[in-house]
Amino acid sequence: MTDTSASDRPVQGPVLHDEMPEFEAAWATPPGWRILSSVSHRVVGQRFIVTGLVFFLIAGFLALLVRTQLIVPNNTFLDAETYNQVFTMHGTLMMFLFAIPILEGFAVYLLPLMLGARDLIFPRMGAFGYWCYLFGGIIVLSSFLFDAAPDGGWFMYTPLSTSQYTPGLSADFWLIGITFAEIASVTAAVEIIAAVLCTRAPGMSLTRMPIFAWYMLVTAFMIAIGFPPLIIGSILLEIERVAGLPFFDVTAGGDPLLWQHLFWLFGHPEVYIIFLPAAGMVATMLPTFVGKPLFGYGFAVAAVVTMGFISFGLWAHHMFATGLPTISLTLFSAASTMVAIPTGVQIFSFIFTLAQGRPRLTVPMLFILGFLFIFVIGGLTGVMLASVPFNWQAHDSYFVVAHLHYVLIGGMVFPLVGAFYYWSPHFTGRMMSERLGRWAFWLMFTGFHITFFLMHLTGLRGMPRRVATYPEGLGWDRLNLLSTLGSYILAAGVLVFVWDFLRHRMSGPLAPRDPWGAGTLEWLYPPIAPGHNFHAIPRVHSREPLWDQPELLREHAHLAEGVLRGASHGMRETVGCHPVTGEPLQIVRLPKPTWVPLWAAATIAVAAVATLASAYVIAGAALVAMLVCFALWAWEPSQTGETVDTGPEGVLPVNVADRLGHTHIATIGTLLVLAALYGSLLFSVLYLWNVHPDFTTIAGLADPLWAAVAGGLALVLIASSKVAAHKGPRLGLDVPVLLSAVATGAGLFVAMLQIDPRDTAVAATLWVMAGFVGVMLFVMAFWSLFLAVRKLFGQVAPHHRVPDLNRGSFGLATGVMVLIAVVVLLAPHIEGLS
Amino acid sequence: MIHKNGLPSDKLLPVLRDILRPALIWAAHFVLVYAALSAACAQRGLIDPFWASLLVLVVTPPAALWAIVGARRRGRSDFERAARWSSIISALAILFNAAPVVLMGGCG
Ligand code: HEM
Repeated sequence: MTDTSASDRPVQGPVLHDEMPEFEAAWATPPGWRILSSVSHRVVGQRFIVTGLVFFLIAGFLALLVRTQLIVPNNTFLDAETYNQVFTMHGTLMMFLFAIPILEGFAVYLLPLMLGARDLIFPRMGAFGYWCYLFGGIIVLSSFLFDAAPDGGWFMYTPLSTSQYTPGLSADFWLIGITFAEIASVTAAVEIIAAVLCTRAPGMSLTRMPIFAWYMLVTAFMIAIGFPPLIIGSILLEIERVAGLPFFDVTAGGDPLLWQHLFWLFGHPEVYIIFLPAAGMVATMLPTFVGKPLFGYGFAVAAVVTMGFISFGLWAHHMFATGLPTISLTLFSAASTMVAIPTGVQIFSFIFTLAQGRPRLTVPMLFILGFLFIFVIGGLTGVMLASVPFNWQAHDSYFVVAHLHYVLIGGMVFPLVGAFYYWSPHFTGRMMSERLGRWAFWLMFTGFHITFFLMHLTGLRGMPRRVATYPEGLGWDRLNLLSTLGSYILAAGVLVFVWDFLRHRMSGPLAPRDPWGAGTLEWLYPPIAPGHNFHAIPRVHSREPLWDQPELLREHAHLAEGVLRGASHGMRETVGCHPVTGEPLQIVRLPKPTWVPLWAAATIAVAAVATLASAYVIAGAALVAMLVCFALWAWEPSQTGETVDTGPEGVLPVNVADRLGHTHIATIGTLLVLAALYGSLLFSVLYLWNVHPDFTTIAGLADPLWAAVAGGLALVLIASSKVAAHKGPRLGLDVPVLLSAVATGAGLFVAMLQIDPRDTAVAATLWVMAGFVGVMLFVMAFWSLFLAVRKLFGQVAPHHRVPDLNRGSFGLATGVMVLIAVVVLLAPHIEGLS
Repeated sequence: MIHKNGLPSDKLLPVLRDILRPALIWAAHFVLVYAALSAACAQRGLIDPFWASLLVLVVTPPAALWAIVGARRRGRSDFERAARWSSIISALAILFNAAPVVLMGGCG
């Protein structure tokens, strides 16, 4: 046995080679370069975090270029074109490739440790998401190499980003790279939902869940619903650029504002998607330093849940200057003001927690105080901007740049740096420096205010954002000079932090067990915890088990009482729980290291690059290879029906075939994403139909007979997949599902043939809608074929119902989507009849 | 058995529903208000603005009342408190959704 505390170099462990050889071997991380095949949440989480940090540094460097250009009037340091590229890439990298992925990285790393699980519930999905993120990010960044960096701003407004005004590949790099990277966010969201709901320690009911898990659960739902509109918008814009379909072209009944709606339907919740995980970190760290539980856990839960909803009702406040009807402006202004209430409830919950005790002023605590101070100011300027008349005045000015950085840097970067100081013992087994941390904090805090507080004034004095330079004598010169100097101070603070992070890996003091005296389960083991997180998973009786169950810290962590001590069969497994009560429900078997996620992501990367190079045959071949990868992924022995003696919790079944089982919950999560994608398309159709009535029928109507036939076949699809789910795995039941999926797709296709997608925007969008349904039907057909082949090869025992159960729910959703499409296609006929 | 921070397991699900219900009612109400205003105020002019306003005014009180019922839930556990606050915030937000119609009427 190796013990961390006994040596002067941190060692991951203890690893009980002698006592539990099979168990430890099953969880060992592959050595050398084969670590790339690791799917462990610890490895994947760290990859996300380090990659996100690298993107942050690149984006920060770009910000310094921007500030250097603006240091004096009429500066020629960057030409206008380069300036546009630099600020666009700064915003893009920060928002898409830094903020969300790094927070997801922390969640991927911490959640299983906090919840009492040995790994995330779908480790391969986490690894796949990471590779998509990395490849997508590389595609976006590589645009610099081809002198084709995007330059249309981080929100890529049409018509500027259409091929007419942005020829070349720059916008394509953005659209394809970012959409690819977003796969990571969406897969992580589904995984987090399933992990939080299905793999908690025994006794960890929803009300005893660490507050960070609540924040992440709500965030994951928001990502699942919030990202699809942008994915759809990007697909539409890319199709318009490549194939000329007129979604955003006013002369064909398209509308540039459709892009803005889709973008901000994503973009506004995105701000909360960035804020909530960071606030969750604050809510976790703060009680540790105050020595008291979070004040008003219930208030915080209510605030997070309601904020998750209300934040979807604000998107058009980014569009106040676009000429929307005044009544809509008022609606969005009211909702924007309203969101201040749940935000305020959270902030008060933090302030009251502070007031309960005498906080220890450690470095993470300093960053928390910095967060509270800066974020509150950002929130106040947000309420100002929610007022339409003020918004018109400040629109597109530096006031907005100041506001968004107060919210993003205050609401996310400060808590994040605090989180690095707090949790890095987990990664490295060592503590970061209190002294350097204080330097980092004060430099960042001072530099931040000098840079961005002054931008409020620059904006109020009329300086627009996104200008490469400005004439002297307008009252902006000194403010810009100071802002730029402030940004250098801020950058110095960031560098001190990065230096400390790199340095402490080698020479930081060894971290003791539970170094901050925290109450949450991730500190049960001395850092660095073993790869499986827990030798036995303890039953928890409160939200702060390490405070309320002193026996957990009294003895060595690996001796703590709990379920599933070891596993003589050498398989990876963890306890699956009831989503609400947290009581053990099943044993979840987890996969070992595999290369398949990397291959699958690589095939998509090839497809993306080939599309950029207009090599469509290669793109098609890569997508076929992707299907093969997914089939390999899913081709594994089903273990449903086996049982495991867990020790204190008795015998539990493996991978139950139940609606509350983890794969079914993940299927529902995936369907949520798909429903949001489809909803975004329906929104687009309805929007164009509503704002450009003259164009709605020009391109022809769908064939009503074939549309009705497709609707009828969809009912057959629903019925056959439900019967298969109910009756269990039988080869004969896969055939009707397969055939009805193919036939429904064929019927829909024939119905669509009378509509020419090149004529009008509505027609083009209807085609994309039908195409989306076609993809769903293809998945049903492929899935059924796959299951049939598995049965033919004797891979499925009679009680292995899980895949059929999941396909049943997927089939129902697909059928409903077809029926909705049929109603949309038939509606003009019914309107015509009336 | 009730442990620290806990509720008996049979009470968890109803309280969770009470937390989520008001927020879902807010979402449905928001979609309805947005749809009504879009139907009345966009180029197609699908319905008269008067009817859109009337619709909003008619559905808002029951929606707000339905959302606020959770605030009557007694109990001092954190989850029950969450249900009360979710009701209060959502009911307020529903009233905010209707505010434009009350304040302006028509399409503004
Ligand atoms: C590290 C210090 C940072 C500095 C000095 C900085 C500076 C700037 C400046 C000067 C602009 C305005 C450019 C222009 O309008 O011409 C800008 C834009 C922007 N920044 Fe930052 N920024 C920093 C960090 C961040 C962070 C952490 C985020 C997000 C998490 C972020 C997100 C954005 C976005 C979204 C834009 C708008 C880009 C556009 O207009 O397309 N920035 N930044």
